[in-house]
Amino acid sequence: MEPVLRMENISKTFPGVRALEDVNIEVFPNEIVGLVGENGAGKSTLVKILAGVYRADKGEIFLRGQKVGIKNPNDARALGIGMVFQEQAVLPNMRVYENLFLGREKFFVRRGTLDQKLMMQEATKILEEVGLELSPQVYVHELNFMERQMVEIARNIWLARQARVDYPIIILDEPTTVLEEEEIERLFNKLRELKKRVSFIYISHRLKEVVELCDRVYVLKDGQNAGCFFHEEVSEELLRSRMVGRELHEEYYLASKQREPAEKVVLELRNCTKRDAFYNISFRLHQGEILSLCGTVGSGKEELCRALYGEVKLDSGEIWMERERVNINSPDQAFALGIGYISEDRRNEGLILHLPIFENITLPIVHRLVWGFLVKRKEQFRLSQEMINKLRIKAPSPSVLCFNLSGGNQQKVVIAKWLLSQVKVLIMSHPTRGVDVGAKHEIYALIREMAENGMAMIVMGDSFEEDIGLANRIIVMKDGRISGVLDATESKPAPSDLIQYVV
Amino acid sequence: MDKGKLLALSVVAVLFAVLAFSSPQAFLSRYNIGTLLDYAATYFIAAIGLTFVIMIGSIDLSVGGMLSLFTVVFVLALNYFGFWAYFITIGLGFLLGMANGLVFTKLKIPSFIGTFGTSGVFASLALIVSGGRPIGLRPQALSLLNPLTFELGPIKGSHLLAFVLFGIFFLIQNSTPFGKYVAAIGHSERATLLSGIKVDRTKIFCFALSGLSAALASIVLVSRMLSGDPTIGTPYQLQVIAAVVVGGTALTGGVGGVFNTLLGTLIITLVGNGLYVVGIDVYYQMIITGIITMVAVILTLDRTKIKVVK
Repeated sequence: MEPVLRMENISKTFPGVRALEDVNIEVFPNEIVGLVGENGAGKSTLVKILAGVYRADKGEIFLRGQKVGIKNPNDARALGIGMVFQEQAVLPNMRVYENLFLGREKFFVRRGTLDQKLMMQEATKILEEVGLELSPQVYVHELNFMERQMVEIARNIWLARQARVDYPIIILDEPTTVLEEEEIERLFNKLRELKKRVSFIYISHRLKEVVELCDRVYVLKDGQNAGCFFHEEVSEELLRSRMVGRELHEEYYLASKQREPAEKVVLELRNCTKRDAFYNISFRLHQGEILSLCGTVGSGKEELCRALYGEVKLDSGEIWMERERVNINSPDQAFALGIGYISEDRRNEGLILHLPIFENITLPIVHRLVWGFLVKRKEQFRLSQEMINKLRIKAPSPSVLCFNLSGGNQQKVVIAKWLLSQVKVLIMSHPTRGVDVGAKHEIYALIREMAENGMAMIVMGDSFEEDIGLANRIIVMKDGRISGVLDATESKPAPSDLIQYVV
Repeated sequence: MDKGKLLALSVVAVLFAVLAFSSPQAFLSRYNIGTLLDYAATYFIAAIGLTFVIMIGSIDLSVGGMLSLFTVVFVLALNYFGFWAYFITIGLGFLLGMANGLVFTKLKIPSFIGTFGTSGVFASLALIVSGGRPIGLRPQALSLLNPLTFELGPIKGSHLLAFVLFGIFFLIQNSTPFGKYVAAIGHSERATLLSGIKVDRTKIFCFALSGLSAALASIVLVSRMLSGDPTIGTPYQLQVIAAVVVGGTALTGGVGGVFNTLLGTLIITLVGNGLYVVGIDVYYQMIITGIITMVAVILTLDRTKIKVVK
């Protein structure tokens, strides 16, 4: 069978970095092709060349057997190549049909004005085609993330049709990061349906999903091809080992280093309620314990964590820390009590990207590093350097801007900040999101080490496997209430044991 | 030194050189240099506190109103309470600045609107307290201004005050926890808040410092004019913002600082003074200041990194 797309010997160099070296990929009709690799392996560079964002230094692109030159995103669109970005490109304050045809309104102009009726008709048709049952009049902010993604896919299919391409290629960049398990399943079903008419290139860090969904998976490593596997032969282990170029012998979540938590209770919740978010939540968190909070969006777990960090006010209930009842009304109060918080949005909420590492690491405690009114810069440097060494942060000096670090190293800076502040309880929302396999492993090791040193942690992981793998105990929430508590210290439950409590 | 500061510094040097060569008699005269320093000191002292407000990405539009009010308050206080006037004015500056900060943080009114509102309040208060007329200083109170008016060659006490304040604020910016928080908030308020920093308190303090520096600038103004004028502040408002922005402190927050403001003040005063010395009508001055401010923004911001301009 003739491939729809063939990229041959693609090479691309950025100043100082060899991003791609003789990379080859093929995409056939009716296919979802996975593209995996660590951060910096070249996945996004490759698809951006295809989408016309970058131009390759060397190599050729063939579409349906014809050699093509793609100089800019418009060329790509004209050839039926579309991209759906991780950070969504739909405008929430506009209606679905307005979003679908944004920038292409000219097509609907009749006698100098927009023919809204025609737009609506066309929108209904295309939405039906992608299997999205909603009115084109709905505002996008009322849609969930999965539906928004489908709107973008629909838009790309329509654009391709306008360009008279009936077999488009659509690139999906980390589409599931913002989705919950349920939505992911629905998205996958839609994609499987759509591949009759569209070929997908699917980029993801979530290997499990890639294995489940993709007909073929390409692995990239350091800008080169590192294998291509069919659905039948592929497995997470296989991909993981190809991505890092070595077998991951150690068990993934370091369960053997897991310790029994201490008797001492550091944090206790008694009947905590926040209307429309969570109800009657009670649990105890012990010194050195890792507690996973599982549940879908809307289960109330996010709000519960935000309440513990003073960003959501409780309607009723009590929070106790070490035999003392406490009030937590703001993040600074939470911090004063010894609670730290790691946000899933590392770049906006975890770090101050444009400040150096040492300012970030010492920010919460800088008021303690003073001589009179003045900050002891040397002390800031010394403590930061200690943390850099201890956590093996890859940076030449503490004065490097966090902006210049990789995702994994940025996350280590965030952890270093709380480690240095000696918090007793650390709340972690998706601590390994957007972090590559190697760095993930190091972060797991760090979490184990912190637990051993007595820090108590509440984790909301990226997957059930992560939650189960890390935790001593798992609390599952559903519709704002605790629906199940599972022990994971003695033996690890299976994800299927968890699911029954989640949905 | 970063690009922005280097650029501002070279502009200062070029302006100075051009003026010194083109009309050395007028420009380099002792009288003119004295005037130049007088203006620079006033602008700088008024702008130095505002710098922190702009560093956190906010704005204080009430500096002009405060200047009007505080010149009146200072003169009245000198007339009736003598030396206590200094403490009264500075204390009031700090408190009214704090009020600005409270309106902003606790009532959650954007600083652009909040200080626009309080600016009107301050300007009106100035008119009410003074009865709408400039208030003269009683001759007995004149000696109380000696700390600002004494002269060492061409340098006056008020110039020294500006210099000392520069040192203090520079230290505050670079070497105190407060200064670190200001930079952190300017870059990312969410990340700072979630690091357990008392963000609201820091913001309020920024506004309080802006009020304090407006009070100090008013004191310097009075030492020059020997009267309190309830309308003097209005023309200062934009000049003071211009001084901060021209120096390279970004209105979006995070970038810049008091050294930038020093350079910005010098540029603004050199341009104003230069136009006068060269013999260009003062009416043109605002045009030139406006254009320079825009050019400064173009040069100091890396606008390729800004995706959306509103």
